Amino acid sequence: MIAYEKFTLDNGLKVIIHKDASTPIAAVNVLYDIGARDENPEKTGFAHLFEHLMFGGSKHIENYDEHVEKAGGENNAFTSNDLTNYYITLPKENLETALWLESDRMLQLAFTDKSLEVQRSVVIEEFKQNYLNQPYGDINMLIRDMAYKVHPYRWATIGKEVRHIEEATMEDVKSFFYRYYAPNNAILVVAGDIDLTQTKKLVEKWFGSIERREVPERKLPVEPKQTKARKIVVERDVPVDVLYKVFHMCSKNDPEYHTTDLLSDVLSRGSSSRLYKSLVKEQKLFSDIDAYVGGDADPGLFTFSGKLMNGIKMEAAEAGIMSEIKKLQDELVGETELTKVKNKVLSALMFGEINVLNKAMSLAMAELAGDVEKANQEVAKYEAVTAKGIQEIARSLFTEENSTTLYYNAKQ
Amino acid sequence: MTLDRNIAPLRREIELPNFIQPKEYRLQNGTPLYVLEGGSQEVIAIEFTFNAGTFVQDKILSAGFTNNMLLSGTAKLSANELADKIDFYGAYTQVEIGKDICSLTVYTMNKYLDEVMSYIEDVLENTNFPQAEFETALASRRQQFLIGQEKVQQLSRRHFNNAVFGNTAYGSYATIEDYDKITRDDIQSFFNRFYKNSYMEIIVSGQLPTGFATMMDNKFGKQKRATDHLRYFEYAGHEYKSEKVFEEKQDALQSSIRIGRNLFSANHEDFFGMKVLTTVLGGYFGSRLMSNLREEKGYTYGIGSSIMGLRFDGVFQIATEVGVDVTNDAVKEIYHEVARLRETEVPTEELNLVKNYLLGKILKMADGPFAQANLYKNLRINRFDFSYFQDYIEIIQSISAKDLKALAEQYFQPEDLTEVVVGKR
Repeated sequence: MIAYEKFTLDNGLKVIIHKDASTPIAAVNVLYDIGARDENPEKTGFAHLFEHLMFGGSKHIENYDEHVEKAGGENNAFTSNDLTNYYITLPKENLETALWLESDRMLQLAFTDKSLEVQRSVVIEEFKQNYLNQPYGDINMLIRDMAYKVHPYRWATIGKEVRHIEEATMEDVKSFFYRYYAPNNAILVVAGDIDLTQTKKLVEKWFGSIERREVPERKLPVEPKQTKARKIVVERDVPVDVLYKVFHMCSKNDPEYHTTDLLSDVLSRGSSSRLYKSLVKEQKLFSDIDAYVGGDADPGLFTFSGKLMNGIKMEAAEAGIMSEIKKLQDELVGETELTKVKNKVLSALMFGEINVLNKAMSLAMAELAGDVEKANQEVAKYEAVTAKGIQEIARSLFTEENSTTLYYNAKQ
Repeated sequence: MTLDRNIAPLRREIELPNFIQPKEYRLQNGTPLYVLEGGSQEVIAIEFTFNAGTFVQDKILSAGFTNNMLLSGTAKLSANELADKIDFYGAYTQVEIGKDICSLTVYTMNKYLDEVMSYIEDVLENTNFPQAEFETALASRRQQFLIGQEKVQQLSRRHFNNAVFGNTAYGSYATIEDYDKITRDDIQSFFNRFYKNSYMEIIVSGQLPTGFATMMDNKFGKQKRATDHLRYFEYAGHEYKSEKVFEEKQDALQSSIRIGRNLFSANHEDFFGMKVLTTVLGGYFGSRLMSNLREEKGYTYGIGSSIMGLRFDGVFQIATEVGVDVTNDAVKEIYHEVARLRETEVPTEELNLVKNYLLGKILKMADGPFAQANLYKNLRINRFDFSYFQDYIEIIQSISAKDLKALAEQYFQPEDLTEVVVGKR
């Protein structure tokens, strides 16, 4: 359980404070409710490019990283389709430095031409390094494009194409900032061996004077229900055939999410899992296989992915997966198996609460999902999952009409 | 009172980490058990380490395969049964292989410790590497290898290690042919030789149930094991000579660059000084290399430099992936940054920043019993203890710009540097 105190500043900034007396490190996490899904389809990759620009200097502070380093801290950030998250960890005695830094760049960025030019190149290199220059790097993009016809999840966080990033202008950047980077669109979490009253004062001091901004209401097109199976076949210069099969599933805030998550664990969490035992060890259809949920704010994708063994045909590999799915649809998961996957999740949650930064992020994510207390409800939600519930999800999710399949063939 | 955002808040001196003094037990068979107790969660991490890294193998791939296959089954339980049982208790296992040592780590809720450790006892004594399991592992790892061959970073790492360590145990690497040569019997004999009756250490961290030490002695203290034979390892070393290697990769969008040299083990008197120097050069976001090649010129998504001290040898390395059109420019800039450190002293403000950064980093790396146990495992490779960090911190605090320049002049001479590029130039 993570204890916390929550309050909201007049400018709309939500603040959560968690005291942990066991660590010398303090964590400051700033979560902005803006992700790739909020982008203009002609200007994708923006939320992520912007994350980079946030490090290019703010109104009063030329070099963000330098101050973090001087304070003995480390920092990083990440962007997803749903959100952008910034975090610093540093010795607790230098907490105020972190609040000064984060509040200044929430207030206003420096917006220099140099910064835009450099970060554009850096992001283009990232695009190449992780997606274009890597074997299998374009899979995510192919899947998204096929599975989503309307919803913005159809493009990846890095962007649909390098060109969108190349063409980003300073005007685009400025308007993006003022539209989405606002105290009323953010959640601040401070965690560590800190004094609650003192911390509240510091937060009010540095963030209180930032004015709220007009953040547009989020109105995203809803993805219509998929009614026919979709399939793509491609050939690439890679050494091994790979198969992906994805199904539309609920969002992470949906009551069915935890059941769906445990379903994926029954299928592929650890070497005692069904897919591994049956398709890798026994039938030798795959050398490696995985099944996992998308933990997205809007309805996401349940993914099966595997590397085929030499000589195995795609159709046979696919049939192997479908047969495991059928077992789950026909028979209930046994009590031992269900206890097993619950124990694994429980254990992971316990290990997750060791680290102060992890806790800060959990609190921020829960608040973004609508209620910070959700961070303490995970255990109960997983424990409440039933075998019947798993069977029902398996029956409703895993239909051909709901599927998108990718045959990613190695060039001979 | 108006707020002045131009003024940074007062920074305070970073407190030094509080290292837990590990409690040491000796099991009946001589196995040392180090315990770092604490933490707020009722979970435990238990790490078993062996002198079974790639250094000791006669046949390439033996060490890696054995480590990877530690849970492939015993006379009592098949791999599936073992996985079922361990997973049932919500426990996680992790294997790790390095050049000097390797390990098996088990993470478990402390209420199930006894049950989980019973299975591990069986594993460490009786793993029998069934042929079918071996074939599955071989197929998977062969595929991973083939995929890795397509990555410029993997190819450059191979060339670089080979240049720095020569044909010694530290410099060898696998080729696809090795995957045809390795057999199940090789793995079993490696296990018998380096795990089963061999010297082992156990490091435990977390909240411990009562009777813990006795339980561990009952399970892991009875098996006959060799005493610590560290002093019996021989390392011939080799005559290091810098090399320049270029491998072209058609269709590459990025080149992988590795520049560095053979250095020394962690016992060397210049070890800590070089850690500080390589941090200035490329060990943090504001470093010379990052500031130049990423922030100023946008050549790369990331560049870094570090030293690594193995038991018997060591290496200094700068590594990055850059766009192919700037490969030669990037190489030039790297040499330029190295030269600057030889020629000019690091300014006071920058040096103080690096010192604070390093102190903060150590504080973070030592945050709690699990983090400290991880540090301790690495210290034990050289039979160090936490006084290593006292010594390191002293150097960080006292080292001068003059000292750093002298180190750069000694170790950063261009003719001593190996340069490996895989991609296009």
